[in-house]
Amino acid sequence: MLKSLPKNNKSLKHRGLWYDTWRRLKNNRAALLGLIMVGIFILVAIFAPLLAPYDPNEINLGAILKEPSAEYWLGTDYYGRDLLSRIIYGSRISISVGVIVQLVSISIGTVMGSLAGYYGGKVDMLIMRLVDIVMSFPSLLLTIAIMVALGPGLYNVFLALGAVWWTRTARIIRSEFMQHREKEYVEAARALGNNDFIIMYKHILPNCLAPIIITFTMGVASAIMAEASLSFLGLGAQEPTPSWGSIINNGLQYLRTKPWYSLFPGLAIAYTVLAFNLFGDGLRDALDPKMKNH
Amino acid sequence: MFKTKILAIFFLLVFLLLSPVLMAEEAEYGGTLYLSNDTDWDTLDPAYASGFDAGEMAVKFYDGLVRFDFYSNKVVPALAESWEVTDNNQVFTFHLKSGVEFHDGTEFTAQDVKYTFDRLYDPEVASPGTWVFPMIKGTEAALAGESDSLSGVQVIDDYTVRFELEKPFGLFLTHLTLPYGLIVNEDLVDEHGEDFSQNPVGTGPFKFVEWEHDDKLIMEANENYWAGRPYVDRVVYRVIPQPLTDIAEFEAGNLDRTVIPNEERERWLNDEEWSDYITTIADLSTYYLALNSDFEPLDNPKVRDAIDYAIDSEAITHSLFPHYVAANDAIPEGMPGGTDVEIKGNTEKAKELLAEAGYADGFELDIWVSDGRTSVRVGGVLQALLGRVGIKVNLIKNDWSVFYNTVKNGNAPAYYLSWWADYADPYNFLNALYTTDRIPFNNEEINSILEEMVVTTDSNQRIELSKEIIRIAEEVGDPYIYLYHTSTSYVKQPWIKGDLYHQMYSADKLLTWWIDQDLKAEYQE
Amino acid sequence: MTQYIIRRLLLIIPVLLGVLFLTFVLMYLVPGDPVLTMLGQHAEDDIIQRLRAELNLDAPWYSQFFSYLTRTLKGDLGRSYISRVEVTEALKQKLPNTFKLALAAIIVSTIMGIAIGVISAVFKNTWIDHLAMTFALFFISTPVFWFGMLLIYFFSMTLGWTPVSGMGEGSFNLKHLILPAITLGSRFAAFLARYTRSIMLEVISEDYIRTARSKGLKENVVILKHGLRNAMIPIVTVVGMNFASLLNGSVLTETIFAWPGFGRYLVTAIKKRDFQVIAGCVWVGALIFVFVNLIVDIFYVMLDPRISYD
Repeated sequence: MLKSLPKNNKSLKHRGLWYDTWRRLKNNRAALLGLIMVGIFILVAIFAPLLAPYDPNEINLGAILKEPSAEYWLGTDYYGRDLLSRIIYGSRISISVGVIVQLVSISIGTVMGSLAGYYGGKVDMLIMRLVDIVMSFPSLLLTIAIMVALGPGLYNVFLALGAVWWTRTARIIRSEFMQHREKEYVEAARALGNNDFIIMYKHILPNCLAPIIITFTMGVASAIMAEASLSFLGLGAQEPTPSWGSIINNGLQYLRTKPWYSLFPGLAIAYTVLAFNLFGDGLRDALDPKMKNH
Repeated sequence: MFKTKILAIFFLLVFLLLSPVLMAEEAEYGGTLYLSNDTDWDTLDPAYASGFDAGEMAVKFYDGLVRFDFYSNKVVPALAESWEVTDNNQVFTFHLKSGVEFHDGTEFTAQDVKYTFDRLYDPEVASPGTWVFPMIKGTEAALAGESDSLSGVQVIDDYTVRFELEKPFGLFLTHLTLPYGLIVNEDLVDEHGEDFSQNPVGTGPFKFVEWEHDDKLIMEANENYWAGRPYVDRVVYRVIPQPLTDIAEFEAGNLDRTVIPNEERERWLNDEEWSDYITTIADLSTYYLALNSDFEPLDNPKVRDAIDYAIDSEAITHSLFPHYVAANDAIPEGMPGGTDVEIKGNTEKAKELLAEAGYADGFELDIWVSDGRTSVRVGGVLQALLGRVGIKVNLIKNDWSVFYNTVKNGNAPAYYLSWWADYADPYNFLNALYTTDRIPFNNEEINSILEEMVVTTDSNQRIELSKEIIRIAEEVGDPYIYLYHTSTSYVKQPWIKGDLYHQMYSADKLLTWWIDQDLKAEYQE
Repeated sequence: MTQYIIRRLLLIIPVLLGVLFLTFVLMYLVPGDPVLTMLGQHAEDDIIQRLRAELNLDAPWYSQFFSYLTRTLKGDLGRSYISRVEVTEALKQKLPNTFKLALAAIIVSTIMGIAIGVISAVFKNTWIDHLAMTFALFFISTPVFWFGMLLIYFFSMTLGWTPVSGMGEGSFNLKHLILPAITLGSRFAAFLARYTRSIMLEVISEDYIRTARSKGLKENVVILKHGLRNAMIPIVTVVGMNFASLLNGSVLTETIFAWPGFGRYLVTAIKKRDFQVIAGCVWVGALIFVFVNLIVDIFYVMLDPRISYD
């Protein structure tokens, strides 16, 4: 009954997947642009200390709310801190929000989704009811409620968004697992005496990489946007953390007199989210053309 | 010296404010006044009016026995026509106005006064205002549930009511101006039950029309007001939380008067077109950093002194709030009782003092702040300034309830907070600051002077006593670093006349305001 | 069909109980004490204790949860700790305002989104298509609150064309609705434009369109009459599904425009830590979300006989 060894089958399929993906991605100009933009963003985050002209948290009472000038390219904030430096360092906050929130939510979602999909029955029923409950809330409302309970702060943003967003991944992974659990290679692995854990995470999971990668890339953009929204409501990162959302929130008071204060951090958010969306779109089409429009 | 000058300016200001009224044009009746506030008023029940916003609004619908004069901080008659003070300042007999009606037509009598005070001390009501009249006889028994009524408030006849105090209290009349002393009627309170706070019915100059929380509150003139009806027919208050939106609404002509946001003060004050319509008043507020000597090394007066030197209030005020006044002591500008203690600001000296105290390498300090925008901003600056002398500050920021709970129980080593006057007397500030559970400060001498201040009605003596307390606090190593006193700039539309600016939030009943309709029509063309 | 509806309705019951429990747990975990916020700096300790007892704040969690549960199921969301207004009453005032705004946003964004999507599909891979889709992606990537702020800056403050904030006088004031509706609808319009384009492309490539074309019908007629009509079902579904999630956007939009609706009510309550109100809003928000989605699902099943749910 065995058609081929499961391991070989998998790795072979893998090489093909990545090769095809890159081939398709290469021909998608928008996606390449997105990739370059993401690359620039990551470079800025990594080399922030070299790029930033000032210490982003250095308070300078002598230079409060300066207009953009040769000295301060994007002006200064209401502590006299250099806005350019804060926006540059803010990229680090954004990338960590994007990545960590996705790691948290995808880990939870993968574990829950795989359990539900693999075992089915009561486990599935329980987990899916939990998913239903979490998904019954408009997501921002639930995030806000969790943030109020945990208190404001960047680490709590990771937790809150992770706790709200895992459900999407869980649903996707569950349906993948449901398709795979009856497949021959799984039955073969089972026949070879592998335990459930090994089957789930060594055999089935690698076949679900495409949807996970897509969810991750698109999720980074959403997480950056959500953190900005929470910071705008005063629930996100706290002073002196240079989060883009909180810079906008502070700058809003000066909209009439110093519009540049909130303009630039907003552009930074738009740029980054756009970058990840462009890249994510392309990646989705390239990885799994069927997945287009879900 | 500095203070006296300011004081002179203040009196001049008061006079200037008065003058347009003295040589007033003929005031016009009619029209709608459009005003705004940055937050909702939450409650209009005088017994729960703990916030300034609620108190400021409650006086439009209710009257107290007395009130602040519109143009000074003097206490003048309101529902009480006159009064006698006997028995060594311990018995106050008020003669009430007759023929005054509540908005629904119920007649106002001495029974309402008694009910108001009984209600305030009813444990079921749980009013936050019980601190205001503990000197009235019987309040303790009432709060303990042993009695339904205060033995110290007696109805003599329909228009006479007598208050008996446990001990002499020099500021009793002033305490009566607080919103908690606004008179309510028992039947009306019962009728509305839980919804009384949203359906104010008093004897005041305005009748309640409509209130949509966090959006708008509308009132109309009480035609039968006992002191003569207000000039305007209607007042519409809008809740606009963003200062920026608020000022833009003013510019669009949708508000008749508003507060100029700090962020834009520079621009407005320099604008020729508006300068005639802008009024700046010194608020009765003091912002400070408190140091709790239960926490090492803040128990060392030298360390506290060093922190005082490290924090240059003058520099902070100048750079963050150019329109505020740097604070040298607890007493705000424009209020008697302040001193001319110098503001310290010397980084080198601070370092020296720290070295002398054995902390040449500095130490770590937790400063608690609430999560208001200004608190966070000032906190950041304190952190930076103290960092320069080697004190590593951890800013601990929390929402108000967590912050205040910690501070209140004495668990915050240092905190940034403010005191706003309940009435313009130094006692209100000094008592709040120097007898408190928040920090273990307890100075026998200051306590006994405060006791003296409670009793005396002699204003000159009060000023001297106030200065004495400030001097002693300075000597023993003040637990407070005073930072600044705020001020507020208002701008009004040219067609608004008789507008009032008072340091006390509870003073303005909108009785003097009127609208020059022709002028308004001219401007709006 | 009826069976499907009944099963969906029954399934909602445990979910809503879970939602209720989750809301309670979250509010129970909130640090801080509403009583201190209510009473101000002066209040004396025994008054604070008394009020805590009166509000049942000292009871053990299960007894608090039980009273919360019975109360909420009876439709009583309690009174705001701070203003002492019944949350249900307040929501009756606020929700219609949010509904008005959401409706306007959905109308604006549906018209814009479908129009742009169709145009993009028709001009597939030309510069018009690229420009439209770049703009759409840009709007999806722009934070709502920041975009709203820019609109206020340009149209209200600089040009003075639109009112700055609020709903204006009277029950319906179109001028006041314009900017908030655009702000709230912008992201959805962009999303819908992309969605419509891809659905249209799929539909256009199908056989009956080719047949219609071969019959010599004009291209515009083909696209509008046949293509769009067939694309309508999925598009309408997406519109319906997003109506409920506009509640998310309303939180930010209403804060910026001082729009007296549900979202601003919630944000104000958060600032004051008015748990009763926060819990009420989150619960009602979830209720609306669940039921609107249910109705959309049911309509979807009714509209499209090809889909069967078992």
